[in-house]
Amino acid sequence: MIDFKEIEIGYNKTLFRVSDLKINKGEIFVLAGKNGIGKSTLLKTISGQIKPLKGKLIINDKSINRYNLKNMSQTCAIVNSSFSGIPYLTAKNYVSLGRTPHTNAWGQLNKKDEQAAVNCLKDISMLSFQDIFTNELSDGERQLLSIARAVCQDTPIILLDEPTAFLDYKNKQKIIQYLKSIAELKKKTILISSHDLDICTQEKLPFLVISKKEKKLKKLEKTDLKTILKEAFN
Amino acid sequence: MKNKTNSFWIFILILCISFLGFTNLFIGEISVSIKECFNALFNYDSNSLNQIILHELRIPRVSMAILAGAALAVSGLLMQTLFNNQLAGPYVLGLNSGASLFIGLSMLSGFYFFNTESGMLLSALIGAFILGAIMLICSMFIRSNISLLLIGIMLSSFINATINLLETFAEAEKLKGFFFWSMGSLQRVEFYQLFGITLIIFLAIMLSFLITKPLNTLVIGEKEAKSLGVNIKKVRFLCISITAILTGTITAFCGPIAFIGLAVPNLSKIIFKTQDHKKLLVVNVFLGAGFMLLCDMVIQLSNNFILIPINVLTSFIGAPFIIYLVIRKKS
Amino acid sequence: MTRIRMQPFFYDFMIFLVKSKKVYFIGLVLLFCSCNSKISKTKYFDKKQSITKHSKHLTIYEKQEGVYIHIKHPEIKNKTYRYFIPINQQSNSTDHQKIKTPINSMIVFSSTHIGMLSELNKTNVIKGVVSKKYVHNKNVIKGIESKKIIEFGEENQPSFEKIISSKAKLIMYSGFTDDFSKSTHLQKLGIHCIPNFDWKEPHPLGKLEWVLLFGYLTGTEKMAKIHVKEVTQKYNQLKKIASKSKTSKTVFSGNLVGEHWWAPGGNSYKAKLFKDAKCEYRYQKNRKKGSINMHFEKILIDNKNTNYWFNPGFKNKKLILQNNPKSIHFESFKNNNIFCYSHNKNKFWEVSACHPDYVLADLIQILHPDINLKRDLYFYKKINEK
Repeated sequence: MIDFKEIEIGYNKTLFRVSDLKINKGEIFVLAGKNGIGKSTLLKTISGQIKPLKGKLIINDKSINRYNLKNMSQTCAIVNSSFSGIPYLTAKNYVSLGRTPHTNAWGQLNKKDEQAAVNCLKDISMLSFQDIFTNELSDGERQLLSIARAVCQDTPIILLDEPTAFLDYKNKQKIIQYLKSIAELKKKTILISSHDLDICTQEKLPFLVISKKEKKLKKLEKTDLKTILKEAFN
Repeated sequence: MKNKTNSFWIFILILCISFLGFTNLFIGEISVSIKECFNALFNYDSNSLNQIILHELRIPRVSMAILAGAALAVSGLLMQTLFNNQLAGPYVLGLNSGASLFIGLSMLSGFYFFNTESGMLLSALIGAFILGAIMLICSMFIRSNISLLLIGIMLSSFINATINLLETFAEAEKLKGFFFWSMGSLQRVEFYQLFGITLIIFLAIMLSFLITKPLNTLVIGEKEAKSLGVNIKKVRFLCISITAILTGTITAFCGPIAFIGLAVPNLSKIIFKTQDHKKLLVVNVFLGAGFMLLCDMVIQLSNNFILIPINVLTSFIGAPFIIYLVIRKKS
Repeated sequence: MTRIRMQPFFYDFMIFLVKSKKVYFIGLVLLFCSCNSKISKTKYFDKKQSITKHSKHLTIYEKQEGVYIHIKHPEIKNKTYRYFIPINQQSNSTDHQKIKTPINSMIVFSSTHIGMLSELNKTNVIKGVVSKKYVHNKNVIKGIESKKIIEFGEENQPSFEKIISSKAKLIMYSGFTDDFSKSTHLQKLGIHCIPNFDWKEPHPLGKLEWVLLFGYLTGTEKMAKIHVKEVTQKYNQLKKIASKSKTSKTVFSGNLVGEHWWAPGGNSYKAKLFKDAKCEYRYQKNRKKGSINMHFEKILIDNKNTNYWFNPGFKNKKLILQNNPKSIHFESFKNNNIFCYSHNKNKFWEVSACHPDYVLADLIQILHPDINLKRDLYFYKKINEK
């Protein structure tokens, strides 16, 4: 699915390297590392917003350089750390925006699109909220909606940049569990950058760590807190 | 169900506009008949005073109210979505001032071309576009809504200062013409110009319908829109161009008109409670036109007691509305 | 001025004092009595004795002890600026500001002031003006160029330091807002600040009489009096000639400023000139002294067939059309009967106040082709096609 081949990542200066790494379909990983080491940069590189400084990044057997905006939006969905809600934008309309890469030039939703949005809302059991404006929902509900929107986008890959950062413990847990379930059920490749290591280890999620010492992205075999902390923060 | 109520409202709006537009033709110093009105449009006799009044003053004024209202409301909507800022608008972001400055420069310059109609129109468009581009660049560095507005206001005052500075170099006569122009008026347009202006405004509004899909995604933020496959740079360019055409054209023919572009889009969202730009565009066209016609009607009706310039009235309504919006947002 | 306005209060206070029988306030009571003597003094100034005959805001009284000049504020009721020019330096007046004449250095803030001083051959007293842009008089322009005359810019915020360094003894200002800024400070330094409301005079001859103020201040009052007398005579003669004309034309005036048309009110200076030139000004019946503003539709209805258009404020047809393309519907525009002094505005502002006879003669010449005054138009000009 995502194939890293001797890659160097960064804006102008190399932040870290990924020597040889493969993430397969249906796999979910938590991306850990200290602040400023380049977690977001990695996610941006995978979603094609910035180019790797060196090496080759292959997604779905195709080099990242050959993706255009539209292909990319059909391959990779992104969830940001918070969605503050928009007045007069209903939950359903918000989730339906995930269909944008699949609709015609006018952005008209056909029956299939409508159904997809309804299903995504059902999955997060928020169908009854569909006509509520997004600015009137709680932070946790909104974050669930942004994930639902990413799911609705119907892409093989979903990238989440600290999706649990601004939530309380209960909501954090709920979101991680939900992500785990979609990876399993819908066979999606999911990459979550996060600082909530304790919750992620509790849920027994596998980890990718950007090692502080080696400046390198590593798959961790052991997923106990101690090893992760050692690799990521020395 | 919802769609039905929406079309009902739009129907009501169209009715209001036809009613207002029609009655505005009959308000004034002298009363005219429907037949004269018809004649003034299709069978113009330039010797009859009543027909001159209709043909040269009232019909252009009413048409201009409709066009200016629609154009400014739409450009306000585009600005608000593009900048992701409900307080944005062509007037507060200085697009009007940009057009004014360039018109000022062209009026005060000695070049023949810039003193013709098309020359002035062109310079207004360029001015509005440049200011739009500057604001866009600023918006990339500044996230705060209020800061962006402050920059807009600062740019406007900077431009006004530049215009004042021109005074020292320019011939007083030419400058006077410019100052009178800058007071804003719906009455300056001539009948024969209406067709061209209508065409420009119509095309620009139609063009804006083509970008409703990216506009809808821009509502949730540029980053998100980009990840949904929207070519942000292209949309930005189109947005600024359409706004520049709409605002520039109206500014060139009517002078700067305040606050319509800010107030109407917000009003439309409050009434119709939607973020779907296809609906919003339609609604703004009608609501903007209706609003301007209403302003014009108030002005015409009060003519015997007090003379109100159009900008005074729109500011009287617009400024408190903005204060209301800001307070509402905070609470 | 404030003292006068407060007198009713003093009365009440006095009655209170008398009732409370506090003897030690007698000193104060006496002081009030001295104030009261002023009331009888107002009868001392009978308007009929004033040197000025047409002016509404300026009255001048020649008395044994000296000359009293009263300048009435046109907007603030009961506000009068009072000045006293004594004949011998010992005589004093308690409620008048004493001015030692002749003044040989002054700052003037209006073109009219320059014109009036030049009429009295006294431009050499000018030490400061607004800006070279608004000056017509050659001597003054030369003075500015050789830095002998300072440019102050707008009247409302002139530089205090520049005023001091100009060593002027007097400031003549137009009083658009209120008192001259820092006038109390300036007066302490011995610089008189005198307002000049000639621009508020509804009668051309009243405006003319302000030249007397300059005459008394610069010691050329005899010359000023002769000038006023001559011009008044000429003006009245012209008026008589015009009244005998058989032609009567209709006129209107002003132009569109933004959305509204500004025209002189029926009781204004310009309307008076129109009346004396024997023509029919559309808004003669309007009572206003200043400008009136009207909707363009009304103007067009009223004046579509009016014969003459005065003072559109632009010097050629092209600029008029640029300001308002609809000007084309006026018959006066089509027939090219538009007259304006815009080609030399500064000359008009400087000279017209001292020479209402020239203005009237211009109007008569334009409006009554049957009268031959054997002169060329002095201020007005038919505006150019381009």
